[in-house]
Amino acid sequence: MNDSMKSMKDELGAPKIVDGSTFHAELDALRIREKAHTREGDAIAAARRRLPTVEVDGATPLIGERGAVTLLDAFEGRRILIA
Amino acid sequence: MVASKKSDKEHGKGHLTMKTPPVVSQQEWEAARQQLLVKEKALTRSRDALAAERRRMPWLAVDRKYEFDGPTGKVSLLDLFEGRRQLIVYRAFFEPGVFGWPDHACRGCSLGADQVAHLAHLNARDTTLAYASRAPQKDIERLKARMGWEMPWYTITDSFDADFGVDQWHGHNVFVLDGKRVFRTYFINNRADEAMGTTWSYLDITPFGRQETWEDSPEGYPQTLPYKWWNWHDNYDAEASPHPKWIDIITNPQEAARKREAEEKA
Repeated sequence: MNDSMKSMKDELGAPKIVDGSTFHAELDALRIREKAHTREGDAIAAARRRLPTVEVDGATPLIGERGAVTLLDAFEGRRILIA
Repeated sequence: MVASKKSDKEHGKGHLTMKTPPVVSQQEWEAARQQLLVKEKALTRSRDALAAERRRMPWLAVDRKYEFDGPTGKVSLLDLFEGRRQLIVYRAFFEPGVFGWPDHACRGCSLGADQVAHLAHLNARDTTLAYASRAPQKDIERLKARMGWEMPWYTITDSFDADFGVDQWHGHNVFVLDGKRVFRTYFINNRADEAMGTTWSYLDITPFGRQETWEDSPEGYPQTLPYKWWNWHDNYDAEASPHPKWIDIITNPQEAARKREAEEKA
């Protein structure tokens, strides 16, 4: 951590300090928005599962730890590959 | 990591009945991706906005003196900060009665532990991550060695779990230190726990956030320029302030490349 960070920390304005019930009420309120965000992320992932695909040449050569392999080999027998 | 190949392949059995999307040209695929990218970017902005809200959450004072067992004996909640300003405590289920005991911790908690990023980056943002369970230290030590986990991991000895909503279910509690006073600033569980692991996921639930200048934070919050504080995980201690060459590259990549070429010629 550098000095400028330290000095900024010293000037940090005191945030609102509250009791347990207020804290939990604020937490619950933000949680509703967080859950909506999670659902939106799920919806986008669902749309991703419906994206069209482009055919790629599986014979594309790659060099692996043990020498020449193909893009197909990089799947290691699984159905999905992230490269 | 080839242990589960057989079970991997079983997922493929149903592929003949799957209604897979159409195979299209590169151009059509690019267009479809661009459309989705708009939504993805909106989601990223909405994530940033939620993190900004978290930085404005009120703080709850923690007045009770909690006691944990650590590798070298009794420690307090204050000790868990390890001298840093922010602390995230994940309650992991590892104790008698939990499936897998005593060889393993709860499967979900173990999956989560497997995806914890190198902690040097989080630590460089004045933030400590700690795990806490009910298991004795000797069991925790054995588990960490077996699974290759390196995060600090403490034994809960009192009502810490019940007081912070993690006695029945896992969860991440966030604390901040102000002088010698400890405050609880946030709590997440369920699917939010699943999403934890990256340096950014942890920083986004903390009261100070990523501490970068682009963030919408209350006045006076610690912030430095993005990218510039990044370092190799084994080099933060050696390099107290960022290397000038790294600063050059991040500030103006083209100019840095020109400089490098000139140096190589000389």
